[in-house]
Amino acid sequence: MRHYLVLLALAIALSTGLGATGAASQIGVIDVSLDPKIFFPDDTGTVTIVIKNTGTDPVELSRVNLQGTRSIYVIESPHYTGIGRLGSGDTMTTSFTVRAGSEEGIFYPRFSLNFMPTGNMMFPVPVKVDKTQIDAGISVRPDTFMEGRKDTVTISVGNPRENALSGVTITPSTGIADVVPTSAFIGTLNSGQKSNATFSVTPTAEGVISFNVEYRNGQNRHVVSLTLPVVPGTAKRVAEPIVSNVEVSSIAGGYRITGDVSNAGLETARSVVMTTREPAEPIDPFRVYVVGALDADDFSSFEVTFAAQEAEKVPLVTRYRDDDGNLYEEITHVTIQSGMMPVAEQEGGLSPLVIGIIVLSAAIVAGALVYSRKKR
Amino acid sequence: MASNSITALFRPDEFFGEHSNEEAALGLPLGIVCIYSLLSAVAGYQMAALMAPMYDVALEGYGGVITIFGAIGGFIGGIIVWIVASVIFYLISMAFHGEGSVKKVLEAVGYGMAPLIAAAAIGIAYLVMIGDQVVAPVIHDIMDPTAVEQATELFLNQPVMADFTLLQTFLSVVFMIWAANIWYYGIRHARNLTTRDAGITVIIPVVIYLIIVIASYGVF
Repeated sequence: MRHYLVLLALAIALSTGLGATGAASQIGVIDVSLDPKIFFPDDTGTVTIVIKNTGTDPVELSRVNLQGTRSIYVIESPHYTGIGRLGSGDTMTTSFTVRAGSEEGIFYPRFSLNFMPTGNMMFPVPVKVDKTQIDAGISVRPDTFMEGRKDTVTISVGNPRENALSGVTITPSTGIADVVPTSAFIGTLNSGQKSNATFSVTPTAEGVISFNVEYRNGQNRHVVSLTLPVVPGTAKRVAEPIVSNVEVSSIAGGYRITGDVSNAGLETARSVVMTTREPAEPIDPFRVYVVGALDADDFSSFEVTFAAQEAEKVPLVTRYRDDDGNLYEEITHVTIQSGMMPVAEQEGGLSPLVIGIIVLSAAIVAGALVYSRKKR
Repeated sequence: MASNSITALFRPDEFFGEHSNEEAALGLPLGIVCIYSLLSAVAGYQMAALMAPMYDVALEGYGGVITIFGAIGGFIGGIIVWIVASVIFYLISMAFHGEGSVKKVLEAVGYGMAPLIAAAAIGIAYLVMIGDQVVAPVIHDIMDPTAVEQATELFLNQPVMADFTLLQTFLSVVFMIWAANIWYYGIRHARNLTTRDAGITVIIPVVIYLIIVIASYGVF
């Protein structure tokens, strides 16, 4: 009887052990997915594992677990104890929330299954942690900013990582310039892909413009900040109207300035207008002289008329616009020669000179006629 | 020669009476006409030079051409006045059975143009004095007749040009009367006309001319 009981115990043990070995061989991990696929240090994400019963018999599962490592922490695990039976051909998806540590590298948290009544299965899950940031830079900017002039700044972003980054947005931040658009959305950047965003920048003062490149790796938000210093100065490629060949002469009730305006710059000066300013007062017929567009190295004559009392110098104003419509103004001080006086305006009468010539001519002709008809 | 001119100017009856039986000598009259034509050319050049800036935009680079045409026009105008006046006087005097040759008429008309030299010279001197005060409004579209008319009116109505126009009109009238007086005696002797016929021959075209000159000034 005693021998019988020993044999029975051995038989039960063997049959149970054989059953457990059979359950492990029936269950297989058919899919492992990570979100994000590659973690930044301190990123939080999920590990999702799909198992399948590939055998013909159902398998009873007692526990499903993911064991963290020194750099991958399992921070949330659903209750996977006593979960029941997995039928033949059935699949089960299990998901765990993990957080990467501060180290870079490839780590292997351990996925394990426990079967009823005994037996288990383990599966190491490779998790890569890479701290390579998105590559962002200023690819286009003017040599020199000018106050009030609109210039173009282009930000380039590239993704050197092995996984895609989503929700890429570039947001400028400054108090010293008007930047349009206020935000540029690029969207998803796949691995090895690059994209550009263009901004119009009109500085109003000296300072700094920050371009914040925000993006998501899985559910984790990251920001890279670019700084663009703005020091307004004189740009190299601008229109440069130069006034020359200036002559001042008297006209009735005022003065007339004639001269040439030349564009010595490298850009076209548009809507060029010549006029005078206080203490001069523009008068007809040329209060304002519209020159129009002046290409680089081009020139045009102009003529303005003005009245000025007791002024030795008058500001000659050259107004023009650039291609973006920004208005510029150059002032040239023109000297009125001492002794030059406006020609007195006649008010409804002839000048004494004309009257004198008329009277004298009439007298001479009358005298000649009388003399020619005198009897001799 | 100079005394001939002075005699013709101040004692035309005596001058043409003495030369009535002589062959026509066109040398001095031609010289008078040439001087008058040259002065007319200078005056034409002056006016064209003052007006040329008006076309700086519409006819850029043609300022020189405009002034040259002004000078040529002035010169040819002087010659034409001589020939046309002579032809008119000759044709009218034919109605009164005038007997002298065309050359004699050309000679008389040439002498008669001497006072016009003074009118032209005074006009030139006056334009030189006021030239830098003249403002030329720019015509931007020469194909727009309204713009051209407005700019021309603006140019002529500015005080200095208004004075000049008045002076020029007055000188044209006064010195033309003097010229008509010389022509009267000249034609009378050249064509052997009576006082009445010579008067009609000269007065009709001269009066028509004066009416045109005064009317163009805007009196009528």
